[in-house]
Amino acid sequence: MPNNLIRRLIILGGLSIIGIIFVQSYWLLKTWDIKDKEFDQTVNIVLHNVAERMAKYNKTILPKSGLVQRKSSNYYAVNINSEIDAGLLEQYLSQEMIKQSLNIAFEYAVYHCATDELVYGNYCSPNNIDEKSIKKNKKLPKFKNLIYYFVVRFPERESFLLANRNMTLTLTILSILAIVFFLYSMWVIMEQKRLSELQKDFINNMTHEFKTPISSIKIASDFLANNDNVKEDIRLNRYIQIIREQNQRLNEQVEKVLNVARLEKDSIELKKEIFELNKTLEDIIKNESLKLKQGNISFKNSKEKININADKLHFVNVVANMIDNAIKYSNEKPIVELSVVDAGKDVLLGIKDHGIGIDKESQKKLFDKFYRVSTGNVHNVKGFGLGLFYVKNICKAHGWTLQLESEPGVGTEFIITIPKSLTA
Amino acid sequence: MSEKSRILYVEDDETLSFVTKDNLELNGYKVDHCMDGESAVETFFHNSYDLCILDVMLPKMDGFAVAEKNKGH
Repeated sequence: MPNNLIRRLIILGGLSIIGIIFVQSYWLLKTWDIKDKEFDQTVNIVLHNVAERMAKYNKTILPKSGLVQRKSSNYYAVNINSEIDAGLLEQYLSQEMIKQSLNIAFEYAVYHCATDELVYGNYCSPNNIDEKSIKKNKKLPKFKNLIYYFVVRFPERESFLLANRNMTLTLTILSILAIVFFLYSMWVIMEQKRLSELQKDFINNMTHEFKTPISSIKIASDFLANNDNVKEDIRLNRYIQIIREQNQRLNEQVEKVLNVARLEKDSIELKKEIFELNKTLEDIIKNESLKLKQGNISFKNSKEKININADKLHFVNVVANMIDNAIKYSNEKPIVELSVVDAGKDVLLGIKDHGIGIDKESQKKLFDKFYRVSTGNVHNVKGFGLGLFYVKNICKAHGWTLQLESEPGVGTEFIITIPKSLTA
Repeated sequence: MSEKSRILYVEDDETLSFVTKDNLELNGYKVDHCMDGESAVETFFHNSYDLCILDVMLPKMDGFAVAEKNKGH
């Protein structure tokens, strides 16, 4: 994944997370506020009704203002200006709360002006909870400016408000989970990117480090090969040839890896030139045929000469790579068919074999770097899995289309569509 | 191992095969060489060897499978 894309993804993701957290917090606070106001209003109605019923019972008049006073979030004082019967008060409170569907535990106390004490009344719960498990707050605060009053406290106000917000809480938990999942995905992407860069750097460094000993071996073996004593000894001569051939082979493999590293590092610089396609292909086939012990490479050329504008070196490498693959993945006698078809503005270059073919699942990954169809420890064909990755990149750089048609047991055909060059 | 000791050497790389076989023969061993797993099993079945040197990554049948098949003989 390109660095820019990752950076943009992280910035956008980060902004989205901040947005979600902001909206969620605002929504939560707002909902809490609304629920609290709702609770306060209901409590006010309950306490007003209780005060009115008490006044009616005592045949007194209620004060015009400051009847119900909220002293803290869960603590209310009711100033009724008449004597209060605790038993009656509890009965009225319970009845009014049921009427208003306020299903919450409460405790109350009544102010006794003769003793100047707030006498604890009772803890009343709508659910039959074991009273021993409840911490009763028997020291409720008094108020000097009131004379005849009672106080009501709702010790479970917070849990009551929270219990009525199941939906909000579920959505909040889901949002938190989404954020955690997003952060985890980001972490995985960053970790994968780090590992991929580490792998790339390691391969590049390793291949570069190979170049020096390869050069040293080449110089030393060339020197030995030219030594008269070595020339005379058949066995020594053969061994020197092996060292030189294998060193050359190692060098080619290292070059392949470095080429791919270059493809990834920079945009490919193409040195385009116009050349005749049929002639170039014939030359490639001539070279490739030398590697063939059995079988043959046939070529069906276009009747007329066709020029294309491409980087000749890369083009030759691409075709040679594909012929190599066609040979490697054929059975004992490879039959490779190259064809050039004039298709108006474009020319279709086909490379077909009658080899083992590729299944649908592997076709999707065939052009990926280092991808090789898994065969366990059975290695009928050797390689790095870089050839088709190189082919794909070169075709892409030229703007050519690359098609693959393959069936296991029947064979494979690659078709490259190349625009013709109109100038000779 | 005596001079008559026989070795079956299974390796699909031609150059490495040549060098190893040549060195073993120089040291007095009789070496038979196979290029793939299937021919190794076939050769082992029809001959008697004191030692079998196997590559793991081989064409047609891997080295572990060859070793498993040869165990019975």
